[in-house]
Amino acid sequence: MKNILMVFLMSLSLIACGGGDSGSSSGPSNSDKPVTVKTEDLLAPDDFTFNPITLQKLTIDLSGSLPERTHVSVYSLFSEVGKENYIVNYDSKIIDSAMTNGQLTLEFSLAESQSEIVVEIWSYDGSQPLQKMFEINGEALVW
Amino acid sequence: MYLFIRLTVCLFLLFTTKVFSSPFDSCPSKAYLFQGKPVAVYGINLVTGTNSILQSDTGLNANINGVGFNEFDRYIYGFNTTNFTMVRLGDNFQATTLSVSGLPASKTFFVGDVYNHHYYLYRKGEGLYKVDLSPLDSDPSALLIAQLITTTTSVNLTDFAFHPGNSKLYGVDNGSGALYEFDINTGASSYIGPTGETGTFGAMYFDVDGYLYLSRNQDGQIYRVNLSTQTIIDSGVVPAIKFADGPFSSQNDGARCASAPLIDTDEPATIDFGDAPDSYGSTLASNGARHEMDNVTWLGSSVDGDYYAPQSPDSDDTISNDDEDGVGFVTALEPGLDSVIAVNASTTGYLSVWIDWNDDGDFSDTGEQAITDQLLNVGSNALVVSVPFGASVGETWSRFRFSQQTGLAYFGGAKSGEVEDHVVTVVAANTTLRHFPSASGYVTLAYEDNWPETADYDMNDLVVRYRVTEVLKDNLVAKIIISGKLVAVGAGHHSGFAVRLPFVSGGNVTAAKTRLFYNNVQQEGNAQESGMSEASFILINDAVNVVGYGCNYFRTSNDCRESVGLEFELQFSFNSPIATESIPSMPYDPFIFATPGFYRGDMFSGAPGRSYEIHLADQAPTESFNASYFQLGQDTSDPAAQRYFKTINNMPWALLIYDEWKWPRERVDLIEAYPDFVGYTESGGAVDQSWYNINNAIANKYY
Repeated sequence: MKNILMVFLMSLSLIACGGGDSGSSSGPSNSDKPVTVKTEDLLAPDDFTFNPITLQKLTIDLSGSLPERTHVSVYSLFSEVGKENYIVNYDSKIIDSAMTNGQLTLEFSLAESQSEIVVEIWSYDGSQPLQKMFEINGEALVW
Repeated sequence: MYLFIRLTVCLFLLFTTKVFSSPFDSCPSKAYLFQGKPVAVYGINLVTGTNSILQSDTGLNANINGVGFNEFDRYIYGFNTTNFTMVRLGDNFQATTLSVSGLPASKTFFVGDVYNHHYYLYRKGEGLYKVDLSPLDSDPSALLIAQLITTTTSVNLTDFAFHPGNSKLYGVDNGSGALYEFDINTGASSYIGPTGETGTFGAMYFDVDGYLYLSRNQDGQIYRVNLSTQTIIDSGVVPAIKFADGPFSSQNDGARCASAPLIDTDEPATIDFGDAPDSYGSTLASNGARHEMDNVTWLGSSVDGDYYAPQSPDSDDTISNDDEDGVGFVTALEPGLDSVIAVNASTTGYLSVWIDWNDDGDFSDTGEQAITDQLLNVGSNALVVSVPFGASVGETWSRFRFSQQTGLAYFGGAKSGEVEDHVVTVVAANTTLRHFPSASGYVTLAYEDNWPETADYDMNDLVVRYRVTEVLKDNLVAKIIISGKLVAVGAGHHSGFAVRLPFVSGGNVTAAKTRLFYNNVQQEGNAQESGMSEASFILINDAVNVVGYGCNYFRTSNDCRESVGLEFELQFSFNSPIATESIPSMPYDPFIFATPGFYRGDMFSGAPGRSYEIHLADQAPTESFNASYFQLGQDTSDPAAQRYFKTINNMPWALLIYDEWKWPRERVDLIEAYPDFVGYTESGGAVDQSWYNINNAIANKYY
């Protein structure tokens, strides 16, 4: 809905731009800015490499509460269907690994714009998985 | 009063029947099946076997048989087997009785079809007749004349059909299952070969490609016989292959417009196909797995219709919506052990699963049906499958068919549900799969090809979708799979695309296991660059020539809106698996180079070829790069300061975008299409990190 509203606002402001006067537009519209600069004229900080990747480390220690053999998967796309109950998008799996005795450390890459992930732990007995959502905010990912 | 109303209604019906029995508007892709007495007309989708009643009252208390579709006037013609008269039906399936002379009295005909404005009738032991239909063009009540072609009619037929390609009649003998061809001028029949199926084939149809469809009365099964070329017909190898399940009946006859394709692309797509390579049985020509959508039964969040089974570089998710979303391989598939597969079902129904355990390109080997008619609950189902001891380690294909039907094979039509084909990876014990950016997603690599000069910054001279999967065994990287697609070439120059693993010894790569695939076909030669100490692989030697397209600015200009032509996959393994801390982090070093033999601007004398490279910002070039090119033009590279491929303003020639990004159109500046790139750049990535998101793009500025 938010996106639809944004598109609607943008189309309004585009119409305004067509009239040659966009002074009254109050929406957060990019199209209000006339393109006076080009990409080659931009100035980036010296040490900036345009690298959008962040490296993450997830540590799991559930020893004692899990079977010996389980399997861990990390997903970047999911929807919440109930309190702490998620439907993951299987195509968005970032890493998956066998886990022994409930202990595992995983290192993987994420986009810097990624703000949340869901981790699933599956047993091999056909029961539903354990799930946990993590916010990506610079703090250590520990389960 | 009641009688009056009834009379009025009857008169009205009579009136409307006479006036509105108009011909069909077009040549329909559906087949029409006539059953029972009084006859009812069903529409059949031959692709899946689904059927619905179109008309239960043709206006005659009789059976109609021997029906055929006349493409000349677009009426259906048939024989009233109750009253021994010829009839024709228009688009409302109301029958009009025709006047015919010359047919034997008190004899009925169950076999008939229409060709070239003539109706042909056949009865064993009686004869083959033809009736010229042209008098009806000017006078719908004209007297028609039946002409005897031959009295020699010994083949036991219940229907026949005209081949749209060679104007001959074909029919299957019910007793022997033999296919016969009939010459319509002499009536002579000739034996073609065995179909391998017997029964009462009451309805036969052709499609435009020359496939003959047989509908068996006893069980409703629809078989297909490939008569698509004269070579096949001459060979006599004409097996009837089970195609779909249709309706059954004691009295059956079929009509179809033979020049219509089986799937009408003018109507909304209502059939879901798989997208595994065709060796698994995916396309319609291969009698591939397919499901009529019933608006109830699917896997994941949705299913959408396809007109065909997409093949690499397309997939079911790229030609339409992403609907391959119902299956999760949530534990490892390890030989000899059990594994759990999560399946999300929209409703209760039956699931069958096939996995190509020995990776030989089919699902037909013993044990490859992993699940048979498993009843699923609504929502998430955790299913346990046993991986055979002998399963090949590596990538292979799987097929999931979910339907209200049971007994489905890995091929053939189904009346409801969805088919999802997924690549699965069978791994050895203690294996971790690490994906960049995810198991099925891609990042985008976008290059400007005019280095060391700046150019128009439309960032589309070469655009590649890119994914890396590392296979870790006991926490060591043992194998790497790099896959992607060439999605745009808005190039002035001929460039190649390669990837190098900095600090990884080229000698540690197992040459025999290095394989490069284009659209699932293994390429000859070794993709690894020879004579380099570091491991480096050429994925594309010349992006301009690698896909045969006939326009400039491939997928960047409106004049060149072609389909993606190249999907690539590189697999390689290490002699000595490498510790994760010793391998460069993904995406490694993807770069473009000048295709040898091509001009690269006046800055270079002759063709610089492989010594010319463009890398992501601050990524050092390979050992093949000519270091004298540093600081030419606008480049300010300085190896001493670890500074590479940046302008004086610190702007790059290449970007890695963490998304399946829509690049700017030809000669549209990046910030014209994506204004947030300004804030992202000037803040050094502190703000506007989602600048590339499609919601932040300007309409009509991106491709």
